Amino acid sequence: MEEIDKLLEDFKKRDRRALSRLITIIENNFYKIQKKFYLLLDGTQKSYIIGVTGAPGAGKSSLINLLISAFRKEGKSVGVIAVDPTSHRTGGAFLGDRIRMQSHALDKDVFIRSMGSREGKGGLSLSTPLAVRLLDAYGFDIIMVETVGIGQEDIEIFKLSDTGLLVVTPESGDDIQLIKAGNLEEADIIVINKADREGADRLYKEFKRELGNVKNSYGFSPIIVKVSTVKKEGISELIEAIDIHKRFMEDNRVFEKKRRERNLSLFYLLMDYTIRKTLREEGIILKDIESGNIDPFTGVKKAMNVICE
Amino acid sequence: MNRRLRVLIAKPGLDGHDRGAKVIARALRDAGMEVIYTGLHQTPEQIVETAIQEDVDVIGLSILSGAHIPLFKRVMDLLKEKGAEDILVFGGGVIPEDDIPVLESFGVKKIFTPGTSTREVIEYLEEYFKNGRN
Repeated sequence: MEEIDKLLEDFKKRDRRALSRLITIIENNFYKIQKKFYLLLDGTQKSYIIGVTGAPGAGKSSLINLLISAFRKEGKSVGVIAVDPTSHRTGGAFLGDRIRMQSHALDKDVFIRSMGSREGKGGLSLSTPLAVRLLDAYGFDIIMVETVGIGQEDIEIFKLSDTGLLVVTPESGDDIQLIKAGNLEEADIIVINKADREGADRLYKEFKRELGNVKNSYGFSPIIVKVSTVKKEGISELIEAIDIHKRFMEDNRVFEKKRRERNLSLFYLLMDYTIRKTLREEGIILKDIESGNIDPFTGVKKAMNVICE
Repeated sequence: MNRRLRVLIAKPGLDGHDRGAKVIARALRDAGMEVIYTGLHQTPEQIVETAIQEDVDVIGLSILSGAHIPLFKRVMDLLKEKGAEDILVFGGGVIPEDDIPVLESFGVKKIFTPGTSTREVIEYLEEYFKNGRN
């Protein structure tokens, strides 16, 4: 217990080791700090959160690397959460997103943390939004979150972020299909990476045609930007697009709406976590349902009693 | 139960051979660990700062350049400086037998020489952490 208090104290002094230790606790045993976590969140939700998704190999990490440089030039501090897939078989993970960002390793105003997706569906578990809150409380101006990029479920990232980027490449013809299917219509900016390659212009036109009149749930038409991370081209255009989106949200009171929704979604994740944990500790109800002693509906009634005790 | 070992596999110095590092990174992942891989040509400063940001339990350094003594020395010094000497450091690569006691005197816990099976490395780490972290 004292160890946790010391960590929280060090965190408030902006100790980086405390920050990274707390992320580990969030990932492994969040219940240890659950009751005190809110103490850290005073005055938070000040950071600007950028979510980055897209298929594996689309260049998400390289893009984030260049965005870090651009934001640092503006004097902004940057926190990054990079999620890579956890193997369902072994529970292990190869976290390699950092390779592309190592030039920022010694910058005191940049903090990069790799996370395994663990139990989270589509790459976003409770740990990711909690880690984002923590980086926010630490005081980063910009927070970027890179998802595992396995497709449909990644829509969660757009709910977590202020501006959501979908990274596609001329090689990935499937992305258009995804957009048409409506799974990724909530992207705020579509980044066509590897724009130095053949087919980029064709893809750009295709997106323009498909998305020209599409508006997302709060009336914003996604901006399409061509980037080449290899040639370091298009980054200032992308930064400008992020600014345009930000201004749109400010002008249309979307910020408040997004933040309310985010709070609600975190509430549900926390409820889910708390209920599961309480029931695991109680033990009997879960066992009874598994063995068929009681049906799931009776289980709910019993569980509600346990939780409300 | 939920605790998962986090391991940083890094290649300091100038040699460009990362096959061994990648083999060990994959093996540790397959053993259920979270492996952070940072690629080639990392400075000791980058390695230690990365280890802190990633809150790893273990740093594994692969060195084939012959510069293992100064590189390990610097990494161990920096870890002490940052109060992170609780992180276990092991090494692998072409390291002469005679140099191993020198590296151990810096606080390097274990050196795996060529021919070591990945199984041995995994067993060593599992044994070291069987009673929990730190």
